[in-house]
Amino acid sequence: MPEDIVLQTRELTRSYALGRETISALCDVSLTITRGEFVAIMGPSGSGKSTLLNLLGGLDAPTRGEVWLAGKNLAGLHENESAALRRHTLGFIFQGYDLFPVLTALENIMYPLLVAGVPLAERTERAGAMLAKVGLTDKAQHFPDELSGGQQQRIGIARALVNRPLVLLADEPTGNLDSTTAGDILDLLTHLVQAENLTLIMVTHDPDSARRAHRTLHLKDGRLLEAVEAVGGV
Amino acid sequence: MRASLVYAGRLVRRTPGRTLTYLFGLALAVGLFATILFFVDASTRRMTTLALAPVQLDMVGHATTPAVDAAAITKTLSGLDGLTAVEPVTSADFASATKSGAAQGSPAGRLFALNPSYFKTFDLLAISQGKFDPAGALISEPLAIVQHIAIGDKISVSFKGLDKPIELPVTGIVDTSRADPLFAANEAENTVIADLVFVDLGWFNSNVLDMLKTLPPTALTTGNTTTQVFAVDQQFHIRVNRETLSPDPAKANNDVITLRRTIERQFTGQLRVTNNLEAAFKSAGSDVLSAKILLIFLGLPGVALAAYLSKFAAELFAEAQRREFGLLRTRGATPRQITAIVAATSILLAVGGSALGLLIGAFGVALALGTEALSLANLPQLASSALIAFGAGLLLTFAAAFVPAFGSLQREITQERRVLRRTEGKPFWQRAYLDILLLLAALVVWYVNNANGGFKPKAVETTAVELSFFIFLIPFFIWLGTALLMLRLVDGGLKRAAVPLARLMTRVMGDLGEVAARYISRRSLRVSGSVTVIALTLSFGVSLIIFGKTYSTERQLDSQYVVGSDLRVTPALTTPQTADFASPLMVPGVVAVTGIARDTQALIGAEKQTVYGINVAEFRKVAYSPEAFFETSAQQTLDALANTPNGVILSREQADKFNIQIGDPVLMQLYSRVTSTYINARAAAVGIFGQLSTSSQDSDFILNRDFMASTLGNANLEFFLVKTNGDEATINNVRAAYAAKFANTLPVRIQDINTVINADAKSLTALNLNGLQSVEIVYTLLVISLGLAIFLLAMVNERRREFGAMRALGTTLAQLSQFIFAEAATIGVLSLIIGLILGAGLAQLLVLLLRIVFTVPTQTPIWSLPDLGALALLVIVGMVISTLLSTRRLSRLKVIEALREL
Repeated sequence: MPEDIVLQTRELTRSYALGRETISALCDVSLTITRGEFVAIMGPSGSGKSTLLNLLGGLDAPTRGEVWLAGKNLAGLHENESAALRRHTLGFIFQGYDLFPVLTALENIMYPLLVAGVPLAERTERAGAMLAKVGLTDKAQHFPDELSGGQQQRIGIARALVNRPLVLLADEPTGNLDSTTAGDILDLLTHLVQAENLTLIMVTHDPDSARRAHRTLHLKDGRLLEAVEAVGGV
Repeated sequence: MRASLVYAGRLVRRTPGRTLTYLFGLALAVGLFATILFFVDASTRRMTTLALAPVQLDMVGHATTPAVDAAAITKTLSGLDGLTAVEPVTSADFASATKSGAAQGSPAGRLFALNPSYFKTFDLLAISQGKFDPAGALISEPLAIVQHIAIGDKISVSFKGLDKPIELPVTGIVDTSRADPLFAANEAENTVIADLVFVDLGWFNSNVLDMLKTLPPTALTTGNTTTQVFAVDQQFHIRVNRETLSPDPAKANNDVITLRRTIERQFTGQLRVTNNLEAAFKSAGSDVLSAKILLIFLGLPGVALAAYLSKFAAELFAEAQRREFGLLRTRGATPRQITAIVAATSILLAVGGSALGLLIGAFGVALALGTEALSLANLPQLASSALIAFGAGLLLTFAAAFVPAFGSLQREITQERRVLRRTEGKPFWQRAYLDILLLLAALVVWYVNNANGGFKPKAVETTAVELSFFIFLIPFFIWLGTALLMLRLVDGGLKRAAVPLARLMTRVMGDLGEVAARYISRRSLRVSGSVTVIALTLSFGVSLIIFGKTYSTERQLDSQYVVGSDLRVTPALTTPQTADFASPLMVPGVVAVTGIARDTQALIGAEKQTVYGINVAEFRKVAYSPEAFFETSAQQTLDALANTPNGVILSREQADKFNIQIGDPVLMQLYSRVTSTYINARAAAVGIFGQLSTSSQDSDFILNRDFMASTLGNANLEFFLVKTNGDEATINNVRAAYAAKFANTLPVRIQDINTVINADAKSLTALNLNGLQSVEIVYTLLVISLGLAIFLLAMVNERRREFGAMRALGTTLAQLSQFIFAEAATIGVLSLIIGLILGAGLAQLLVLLLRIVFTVPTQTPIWSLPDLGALALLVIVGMVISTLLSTRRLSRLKVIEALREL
C-alpha cells in the first residue's frame, strides 16, 4: 500500500439477516482515500452511508471484504486494538455534537486523551490549545447545555482533533445547524483539516457542503455509484 | 382495532428483551399482590376451620320443662337442613356412686343416659376398657380409680329424693378427658365433674326417667340470677353441617345464629339452644381481622415497590415504543392510528403480565401453604382475589405504560428529546417538603389512633369485620414520607459529595473514575431513585426476617405464659396432691417443680374470684415471669409477697375494680373443698402485676401457698409447673415419662408449650407466617436484582448516544463497563447501608403490631444474624449478576445507530 493511502476498502460488503431474508446494506464497495483528501459521501436514506461509516471507523465488522486503515487490516483486530486504533488514528464528529453533558467544554475535549492514558497536565495543555483554535477559550468551564449549537459543534471538532488523528470521520456535522452557522463550521473544519493535512470523510445530504470536497462518493442501495471530482475542492 | 392488535403483537415481539422485562416487572407486582390476597383467603378458611376444630359439640338444645316429647323433637331436628346429626341425651345428678358392698361411696356426680350411637357421632367419650351394654353401665376413669371399681363389679347409684338406688353391672371404663363440653352444655354451670356414670337411654327412660321427673326443681343461684334446675336435664346434642358454612367467620356466625333461631322457633317454650360455635366464630373473626392487618403490613410495601419497579420497566419499553412511533409518524400514520396501537400494546402487556402474575401468585401461595390453599373449596374467594389482582395489573399498566406513551405522543419527537436531555431540576415534592409533611401526618394519625385505643382492631358483632382506616394511614404515610425523605437526602448527599466521590472513584478506577463520579453526582436524582427503591426493598426483607424471628419467639413465650412454665401437670380433682407430688415429677430433664394452690370459689366482697397460692422461692425458679408482667419489677413484687406471710399480690384490673392500693387490707373468704365451708382470711396488698403465669385467664389474687394452706386447713394443690432446659426434645421426653409413670395409676392432665402452640391453633399466633416470609424474601431478592438490572439498563438506555460517542472516541468496552460498575457499586453500597438501618426501624414498627397479636407484650425486635447475613450475601450476589447482565447490553450497542437515535 503506497504511503499516501490512508484508507482503502476492497469489495466491502455488509448484509443483515431479517427473518429468512438477507438484506444487503453495503455491497462490494471498493475505494481508496489518500492523505489530506476530503471525501464527501452522499446518498438517500438507507443507501448504506451509516454502514460504510461504521465499517470505516472499525465500529462494525464487514460480512465480506476488507478495510485497511493506516496500513492495518481492521478485520484482524481485537476489540481493544480496534478501540486503540480509533483513539490514535481516527477522529469522529457527530451530527448531534454528542458532547458529554456532565463534563465541561474543556473536559469534553480532554476526554479522548483521558481514555488514551495521556497524563493530566499534557491533556489540559493540549485541550486548552485546541479550545483556542476553535475560538472558545472563554467557554472552557461551560457545560454543553450552556452553549449554542454552533459552539457545541466547535467543541465537537476540537474533541475530534485533539488526539491528532490521521482520518476524520464526520457524520453530517452541520445537519442540525442553520445555514450561516453551518457555513462557519465547515470553514473552520476545512481550515483545520488543511492546516494539519488530515483526511476528512464526511457524510452529508447537503450538495453545497459536498461541493467543498475533493471527491463525492454516491451510494445507492448499498452500491457505490460514480465518484464526482469537485471543481474547486477545498 | 384488529390491525392495531396485530401491529402491537409485532411490536412486542420485535423487542423481546424489553417486552419480557416489562412483563416480568408487572408480573412481580401482580404476583406478590395475588400471593398476599390468596394467602389471606387460605388463612381465613384455615383459621375458621382451626377455630371450630376444638368445638366437639356445636349446639345443645335443653328442654325447658320435663314434659317434652324427646322422640318427636329428635325426629324433627333430624329433618332440618344444615344439621348433620342429632343425639338425645338425658343427664341427672346423683348423690353418690358406690361399688356394691363397699362402705364408702363417691362424692356427688352425674349420670348420662345416651344411645349407643352417641359414641360414634360425637368424639367426646372414648371407651378405654370393656364395651357399652344397654343392660349395664359405663363409668369414668377417676370414679374407677378412686372407688376401685373394675369391669364386672356392680355399681349402686343413689339420687337425692329417691328411696332406692339403681344398681347396674359395670361393663366398661370411659376416658372422659375430652368430655368438657358435656358440662359446659349447661350455661348455669361450668364445672367439670370427675365421677360419671353412663347408661343406655332406652333403659333409663323405662326405669328411671319417670321417677326423676316427679321430683321438685331446685333453685341454682349464679351471681344475681337464680334458675330452676330439674332433676333431669333432657338435651339434644346437635352437629351443624360445617361444609356449607362460609369461610368468613362473621358470615358463618350469622348463618349459625339463624340456624339456632330456626330450631328454637320450632319448639317455642320447650327448647333453649346453646350455640357453642358462636364463641369460636368470634375468636376466629378477631383473628382473621388481625391476620389481615398483619398481612397488609407485611405484604403491601413489597407490592408497592414491585409496582414502582414495573413503572421503570414500562419506561424501558416506552423508549422503544417512542422510536417506533416516531418512525410510524414519518411514514404517515395518523395520531389516531398510533393511539390505537399504544392502547393495543398496553392491553397485550397488561393481560400478559397480569396473567403471569396470577400464576406467580398461585405458585407463591402453594409454596407458602401447600397446594390445598388452592383447593376448589376456596374457589369463590380465590376467584374474587384473582380478579382484584388482575384488575390491579391492568390499572398499573394503564398508569405506567399507556399514560406516559400517550403523553409522549402529544409532543413532537424533537420536543421529547429536549425533555429527555434537560437539566434535572428540583421536583415539586421537594420544593413542597411533602416528605416532611407526610411524616408529620403519620405522627398525627398515630397520636389520634393511640388516643382512640391504639392498634386494637374493631370487629362489629355479627357483621363483616372492619379494619380501622387509620391503621392503613400510618404505615402509608411513614413509607411514602420515608421514601421521599431518603430520596431527598441521598440526592442532596450525592450532589454535595461530588469531590470526595470523585477522589474515591479515581483511586479505585483511575482517571476514568472522575468521569464516573461526575455522572453519579450530576444525575443524582436518578441514582437516588434507584437507591431509594432498592434500599426500601431491602429494608422490607430485613424487617421481615427480624419480624419472623420475633414472631416465632413471641409465639413460644406466649405459650410459655399459657402453660406457666415448660409443662403443667394437673391431677384430677378427685385425687388431689400436696407439695410432695413434686418428687415424682422430678424425672430426668426437669430442673425444678412447683405446686400451685387454687380456690375458684373464693369470695372478695360479694364476688366469686379465683385465688392462687404460690411458694415464691419455687415459683421464681419455675414460672415464666418477664419484667413486663409487673408494674415495678418481678424481684420487688415477689420479694414483697415472700416477706409478708399474709401478703397478696393482685392484678391491676382487680386493684382498680376494688379500689385496692398497696398496703390496703384485703378481706377474702376462701372455700374449703374438704369441709365445704367458707373461711375468712385477712390479707394485705403488697404488689400489683399485669399478668402472672399461674393462669392466663384468672390470675387476679395471689397468696403465699403456706398462708392459704394454713387458712384452709389442707395443703392440697391444684397443679404443678415444671421447668426443663426448654428444648423441645427434653419437654417431649419429660411429657412421655409422666404419661408412662401415671398411666392407669393416677389421672393427670399434662400440658406443655408445644401442645399449647398446637391446641391454641385457633388463634392468630398459630398463623403459619414462615411460608409467607419465605415467599416474600424470594420476592425481595427478585425485586432487588431485577430492580438494579432495570435501573442500570434504563441508565444505559438513556445514555446510548453518550456511550456510542465514547465508543467512537476509542473507549473500550471494559472502560465503559467500569461506568456501570461504579454506578452499581454506589447504588449497592448506599442501598445496603440505608436498607439495613431502615429495616431495623421498620421491624420496630412491625413489632409494635405484635402487641395486638400476643398476650405477652412484645418488647424488642429479635435479630437473627445468620439469616440477615444470608440475605445480605444473596442481595450482593443478585446485584453482581444484574450488573454483569447490564454490561452485556453495552457490547451490543450499535454506535452509529445510537448516535443517530435509530
